[in-house]
Amino acid sequence: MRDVAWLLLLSMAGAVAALSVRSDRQGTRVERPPHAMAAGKAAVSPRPPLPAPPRPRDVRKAIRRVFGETVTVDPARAAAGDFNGDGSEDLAAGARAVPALLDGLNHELANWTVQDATASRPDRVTVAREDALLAVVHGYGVAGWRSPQARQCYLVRHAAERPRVVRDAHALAHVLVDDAPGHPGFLYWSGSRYVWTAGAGAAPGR
Amino acid sequence: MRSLRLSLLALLWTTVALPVAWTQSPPPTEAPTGFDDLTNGFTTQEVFDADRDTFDEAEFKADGLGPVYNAQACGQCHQNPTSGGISQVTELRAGHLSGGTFIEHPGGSLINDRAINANFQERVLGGYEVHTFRTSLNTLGDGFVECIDSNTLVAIANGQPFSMRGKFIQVPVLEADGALRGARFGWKNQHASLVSFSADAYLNEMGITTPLQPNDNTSNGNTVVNGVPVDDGVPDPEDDGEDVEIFARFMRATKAPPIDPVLAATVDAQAGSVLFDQVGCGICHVRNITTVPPGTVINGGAFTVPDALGSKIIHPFSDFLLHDVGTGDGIVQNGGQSTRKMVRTPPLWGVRSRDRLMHDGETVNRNEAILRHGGQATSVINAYKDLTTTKKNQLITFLNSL
Repeated sequence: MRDVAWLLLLSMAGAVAALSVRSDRQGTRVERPPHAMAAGKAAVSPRPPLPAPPRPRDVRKAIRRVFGETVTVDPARAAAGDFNGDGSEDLAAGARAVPALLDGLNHELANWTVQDATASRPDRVTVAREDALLAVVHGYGVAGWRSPQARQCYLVRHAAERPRVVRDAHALAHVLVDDAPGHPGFLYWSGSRYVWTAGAGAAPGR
Repeated sequence: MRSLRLSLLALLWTTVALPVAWTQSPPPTEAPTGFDDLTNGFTTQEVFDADRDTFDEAEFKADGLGPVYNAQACGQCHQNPTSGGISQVTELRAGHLSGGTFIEHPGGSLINDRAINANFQERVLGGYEVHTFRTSLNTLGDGFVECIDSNTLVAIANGQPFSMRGKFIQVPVLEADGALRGARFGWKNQHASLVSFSADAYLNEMGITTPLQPNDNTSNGNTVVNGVPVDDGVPDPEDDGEDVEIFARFMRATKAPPIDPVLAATVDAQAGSVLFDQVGCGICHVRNITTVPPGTVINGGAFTVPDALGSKIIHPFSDFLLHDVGTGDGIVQNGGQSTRKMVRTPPLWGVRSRDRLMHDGETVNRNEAILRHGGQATSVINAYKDLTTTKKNQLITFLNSL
């Protein structure tokens, strides 16, 4: 008799459950309000101070880390700043291609992007052996361009030859100014590429 | 006694097992795919064809086009390789950054490229130095995307590594009196429903007002220019809302973008598919998502998921969350100031039909598009950089098969 009672109870419970599921099927299943999401990374970057000039040893080390042996760098023509406005310090340094490694430097699947700062179209750009280049390493996190993770990099033709860093008045980013005689102007990050604007006193910074 | 027990067991089976089997959601099945102008089953083919004609139909001044606008029809920006797809068309957005706070351009961050009167032409004003282009997005398969539970998006975010975690935001569903829902449409995740998205685009891209968006746009914030009222001469709302419903119905009835079956079957593409997951691309470009069961009420009560869209497995290769991958869109819309430099992970389904990449369309080859990812994607891109040339080619072959 206990078994019978137990089975009856189960049957009733099942019927109730089935009815409740059936009501869902009839269109009352409703998307619930989202539950809490764990906090993610803060996206707003603080206004970056002008960093100290980079040390030659650090410059060589960073350039070798991202470009290998394909370029030689002139640490005397290096500057650090937050060029892309992400709150992490970036590096720009004058560089030349190693002629014997030009094929690797210009390879379509190389780990860097070659750009021409004066080009108005996104044509594919290649480096020639005589080109004066600006090697740029975008920083990552607090350590910036010194971080082993910082490997987003560009080789920019027709850019600043003797870069000096100033702060953009608006964009929370630094721009590179070149005061060299015969080559005045400034270089800035557009969001997708480095762009050179020629002209003495043209820099927007202060 | 034995027969009584058997009868009760039979009763149990009929009252529990049968109804439960009958009422349980069907097991998820693959969503239909195709660039073939065929309905996914949400509407009949006859309705789908008529809706597509409306989607592609050009609007003129007499219809209420303008006063400022970008295109005359949905299909002018969403067309490749079939109606509802993508195009090379971009839109322009602008604003100003003041002490780290984004300030919208007068009249809104969208700068319309066309006007029905030269006096009304919008321009980026001096002092508004933040500007970006945004490519037109694919809408094929968006009916399935609409039917993703908001909590699924939250769960995806919570499953991502802390440094890569996407930002989930909620936005008002216009057709549900502003009820909030997890955003999933638009480069900045501006919308959660296809009706809201349609009403927004009808106003902001074509200048057609509807009951959900009843006020025409200004010209750079001005209602009068050179003594001429900024108006198209047609009383608002210029559409009674029917077109908006048709646009949404069309998008809900589209199939998801298909893979290229020939390329996807190659050894290189299959190896690339494995590499895609190994290097971590799939953390944000999420491969598999299942929609809610049929009968679920979504969009703040405004839409009940039909059989054609519910319990479908889709392969959008997106988490539909906002991320900062260092590409610097710079515009704030629905998500607040913290989303200024974020964009929604673009779904990669159908990416083989796109030649201009990233949100601004300024990158034209796959490798450079990958290298352009920084910020939250840094560790993944570094893993990509460590691949051999052969493996990079395989991964890119896989992308070209999507």
